[in-house]
Amino acid sequence: MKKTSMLLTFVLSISMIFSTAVYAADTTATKDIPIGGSGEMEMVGSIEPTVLSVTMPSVVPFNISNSLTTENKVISPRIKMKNNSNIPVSIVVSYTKVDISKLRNTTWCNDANVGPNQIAIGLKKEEVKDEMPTSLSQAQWLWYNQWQYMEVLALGANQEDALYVVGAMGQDVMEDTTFNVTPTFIVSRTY
Amino acid sequence: MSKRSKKIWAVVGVFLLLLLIAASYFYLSHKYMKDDDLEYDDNAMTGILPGVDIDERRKELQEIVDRNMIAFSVNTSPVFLNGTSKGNLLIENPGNNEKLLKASITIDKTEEEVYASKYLKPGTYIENAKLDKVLKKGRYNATVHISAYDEETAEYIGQTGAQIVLTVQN
Repeated sequence: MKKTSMLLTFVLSISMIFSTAVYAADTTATKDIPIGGSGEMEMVGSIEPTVLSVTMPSVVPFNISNSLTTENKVISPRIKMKNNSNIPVSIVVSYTKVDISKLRNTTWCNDANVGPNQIAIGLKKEEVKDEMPTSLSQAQWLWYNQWQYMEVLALGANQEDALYVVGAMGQDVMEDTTFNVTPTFIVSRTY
Repeated sequence: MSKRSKKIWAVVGVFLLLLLIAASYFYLSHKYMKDDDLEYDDNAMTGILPGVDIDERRKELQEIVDRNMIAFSVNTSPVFLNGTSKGNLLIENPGNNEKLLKASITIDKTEEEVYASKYLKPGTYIENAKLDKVLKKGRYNATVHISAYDEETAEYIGQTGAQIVLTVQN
């Protein structure tokens, strides 16, 4: 009887030890994937933000005069726009603030068909590198104190391009006063 | 130290502090002069000075444009966990800019300004920031206006901008 009791105690102790071991093995099984077995693995994905990076002018000075013999009456610098990012972008003129209050008896014209007392200013994409445009064909005209959202350039990833200011003025516009034209360039991602 | 000496030192201390505040105000108010203070000469004329070469004039205009280029970076789709949490704006004034930049974000539909930064020196960036206005959950088309200022005088130079989409998740 004593022998049976000792045997049963031994068997019970062993089974308790093994049952604990089995339980412990069960909890760790979700972390380690046994070879030839199955399990769950969490895959963590993170979305990188799309950063737009550009170099654009903040000031666009120009001179306009009827003394120029070409159709375009503006002397313009080369207005460089550079996309420094890896995504294509579009550059628009969102709004143009125009102040011609000092040009007495002169009004603004939203296209090239100016009257004798009118003035019009626009932008034109560079056709030949470093050459100021002489004609007004393909020019895009700035609107007088209005929201416009006019695309002036489309740049691919890491691409650079340029614009010029162009303009037309009637023969009766006085040439001895300053006026301000301030377009706001806005860049946006294109898809 | 006697009570009288302590009083004298306290008065001297307050006086020096007031002097320091006045000097700082004077210095900063002159350093950060605004564009409104600029006076343009009414006597200046538009056009080309007779006898001036067109190529020469073009070079002068080119120098002005090149000096006033703005480089900047911005996240096109910043995300905010909720209306009061920080979002990843990622607005950068690159080190080669040589200008101070300020950014302001306006919601396109309402034209409401929801964020305005202070000056960013060249070579600095804002990674995360809270909006100044609490927005409800949703996606908002917005425009970041980047204004440039002279690094020495803080005189306003000009502005440009970028279209972005703000997302408020909750």
